Amino acid sequence: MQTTPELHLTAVVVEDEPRIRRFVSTALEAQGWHVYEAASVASGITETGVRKPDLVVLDLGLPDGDGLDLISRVRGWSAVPIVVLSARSDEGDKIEALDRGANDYLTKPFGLGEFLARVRVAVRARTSAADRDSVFSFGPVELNMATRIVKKDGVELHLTPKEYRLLAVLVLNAGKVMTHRQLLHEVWGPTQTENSHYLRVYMGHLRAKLERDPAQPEYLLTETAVGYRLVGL
Amino acid sequence: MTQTNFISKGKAPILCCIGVRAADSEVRDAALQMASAEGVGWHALHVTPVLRLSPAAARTAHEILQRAAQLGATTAIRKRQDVAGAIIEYARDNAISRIVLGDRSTRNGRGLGEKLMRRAPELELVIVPALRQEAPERQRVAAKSALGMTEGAAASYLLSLLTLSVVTAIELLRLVDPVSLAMLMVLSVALVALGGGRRAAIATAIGNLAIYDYLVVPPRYSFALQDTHYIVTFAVMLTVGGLIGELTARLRVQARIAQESERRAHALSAFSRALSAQGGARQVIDVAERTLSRAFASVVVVIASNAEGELDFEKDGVEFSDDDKALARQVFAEQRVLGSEDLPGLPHWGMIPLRSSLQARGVVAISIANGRRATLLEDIRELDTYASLIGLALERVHYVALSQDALLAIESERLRNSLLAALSHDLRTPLSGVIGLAESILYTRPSLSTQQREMIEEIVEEGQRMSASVDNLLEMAKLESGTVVLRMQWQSVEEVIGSALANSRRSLALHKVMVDIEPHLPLVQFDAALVTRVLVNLLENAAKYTPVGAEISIAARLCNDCVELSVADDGPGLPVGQEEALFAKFARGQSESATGGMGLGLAICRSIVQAHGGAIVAETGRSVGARFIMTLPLGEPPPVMGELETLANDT
Repeated sequence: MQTTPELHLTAVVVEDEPRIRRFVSTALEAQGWHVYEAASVASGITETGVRKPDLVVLDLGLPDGDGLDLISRVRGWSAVPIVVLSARSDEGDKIEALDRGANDYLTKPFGLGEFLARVRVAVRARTSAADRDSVFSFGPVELNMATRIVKKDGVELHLTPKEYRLLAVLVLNAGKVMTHRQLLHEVWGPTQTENSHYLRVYMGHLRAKLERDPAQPEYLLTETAVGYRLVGL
Repeated sequence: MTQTNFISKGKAPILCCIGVRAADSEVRDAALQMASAEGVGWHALHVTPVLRLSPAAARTAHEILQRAAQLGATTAIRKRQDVAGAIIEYARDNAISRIVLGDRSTRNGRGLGEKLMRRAPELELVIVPALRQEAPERQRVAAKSALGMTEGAAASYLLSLLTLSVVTAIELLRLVDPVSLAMLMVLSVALVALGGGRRAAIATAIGNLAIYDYLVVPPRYSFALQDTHYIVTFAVMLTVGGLIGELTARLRVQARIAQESERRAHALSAFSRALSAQGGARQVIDVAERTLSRAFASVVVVIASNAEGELDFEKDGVEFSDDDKALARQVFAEQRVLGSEDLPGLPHWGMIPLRSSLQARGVVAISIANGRRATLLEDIRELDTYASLIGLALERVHYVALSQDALLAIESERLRNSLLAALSHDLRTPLSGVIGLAESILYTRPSLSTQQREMIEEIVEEGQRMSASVDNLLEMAKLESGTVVLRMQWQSVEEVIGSALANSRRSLALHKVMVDIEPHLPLVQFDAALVTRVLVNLLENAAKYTPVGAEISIAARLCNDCVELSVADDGPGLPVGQEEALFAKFARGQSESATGGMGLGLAICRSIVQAHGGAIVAETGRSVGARFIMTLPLGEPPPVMGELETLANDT
């Protein structure tokens, strides 16, 4: 596992289970993070407000309330990346966390390598969003937001308006899990947020046009029952 | 039915009659004392004569009644001109044998006592002396009515006779001229009709005619008629008399009908109140049988149907013959009331179905004892109304019981879910700790030796294997408990295969994976998470039971009305003849294999696929190895709106 130290960054880890809090902190500190710990929703909100961190790692099951509340509260004043840890395998919680503004989630037990990879994506997505360039590329695909031209292996592709819009939304949120609801809202508008089968059809088209093997996508990944995520940008 | 007298002994309640005087509160208190001394219930009744009652008097009566209700009495108010009749009726309807009455509780208090004695000799009267504070002394007054049932008619004719004598006297005394006399005669007919009914009125009219003819029409003191224009007079007098008699009689009949229907309405509402207070079918049936047996003066039995729609003939003290049972079943099955056509062969019971809004709840049977056959049809008609009340009450308690069961089921499901959630948390959290802490050692400095690294990595892998087993156990428990709700959505088969391959990438790393998906497959409705789990289980099984480098293929194709998904390998295959047994819980290919696992994977797959209305089978071939095939039913996918023209261009 490669380790690229990310210096001068602060993280708040909100987790009531001391062993998990400890290894998450240890792993982040080994990467050069400065870590503050909290064991409840209340202290998590305080720490996030005081420390102005670059990352919040949040456990959903906390003793004094639901971690979901913390997401809503923090999103009221901050766009800090939030990575959710959950012992619940129920997709409903993940979707709820993402819809409220969390960037990513991991189901316990999770591998540290996977965790650190997600953290890197979440933090980088934020910095890249800050200095937004009009040309994006992942794998063989190149997307120019200014000219709306999409190329694969240098060859221009024809995308329908909806396909282009779906791709653009995923690109602008690269690395972040986008729930079905969020994507439908962005692409088809607020009245179509229950028609997740639209996404299946259009995602199939996008994969057929952009992926090398649509059945084993490398960039347009499925988060089963939750949504989609674009990686490799 | 009111003609039957009831003499209830022992625990019969007491009725006190409340008039409009403040002193009538003493009557109430006396009744209360008697009732509490004997431990019986008591009623307080006020009868308002229709025409005369000042608002203040009504208020007094209501106040006394209100207090009585607070003291535990059942209270009632009746609007009737015939006060005694109303009291007797109330007493009979409520099986009351003792009546407490104020000495002058109404303006003609003593008269009321006498009327009661005459008309209902079976009742025991207790007269509370007016304005006395001590406990009432009981006076048993008994008298038999000499006139009995003809008393009313006799009184009418007496009235008629009286009127005629008055008219005669007036004529004899020459008080008025002949024309006015004729007018007086018409008036007398009207009065008699009012008091005595149609026959008395007609008798009066004819008597008047005779008197007029004899005394007034010349020649006087003879019935002979010289002047024929008197024939017209007579005809007019007779016609007017008849008309008045008829009209008045009709009025009386209507009044009686109104009273009767009021009584019935009271009885019905009391019955329905009594039924609605009951919490169980048993109590509803008991109350109904007791009340109706009393009201109809016959044995009335409620034969309820059970959950299977069979009638329960087990009744204390009642034997049904096979004919009776057959009749009851017929009435129950056909949902009809017995008509006259059923009467000739009718054995011992009249039967009425208990109807409710949704289904029949049983049958009410009324015993046809001696002398009741004649009134049977009428009884049945009246009983039918009660039967529908019983039916509704039984339906209500049935649904109350159902909703209680449903609440219980919800509660136990909630308990099961929270138990599973707690179990999931308590098992996964320490596992997360083990795996995470072990892994974090890899990130600490100074770096570990290769050997140490390998040991740590093994701890992590074992932890992950254990975590997978825990997942399987919890998943199986969830599926077994029946609490899994499928999140059915229109899914892409290609996508779910992609997810399954991504999820089992690590297990498949040392195998050759082939993917073969038929192009243009329609969307299929299923729970993506669960179907992904099925595919992951099948892929990981294939990886586990085949040697390194073996080929594993996953395919999807359309079949008739279904989509077929299959996972096949070119490994050693399945034990022949054991293909089905593999899907049983805790089943494994080789019992003493070194390969880990609890044998839950395929059982979970089958549960999930069956929950989707699909099927999963295993097969093995001589040359090919193992193949698992699952089919999911095809549906009619919803249209995709918004870009149809561009879509058409694309494809």
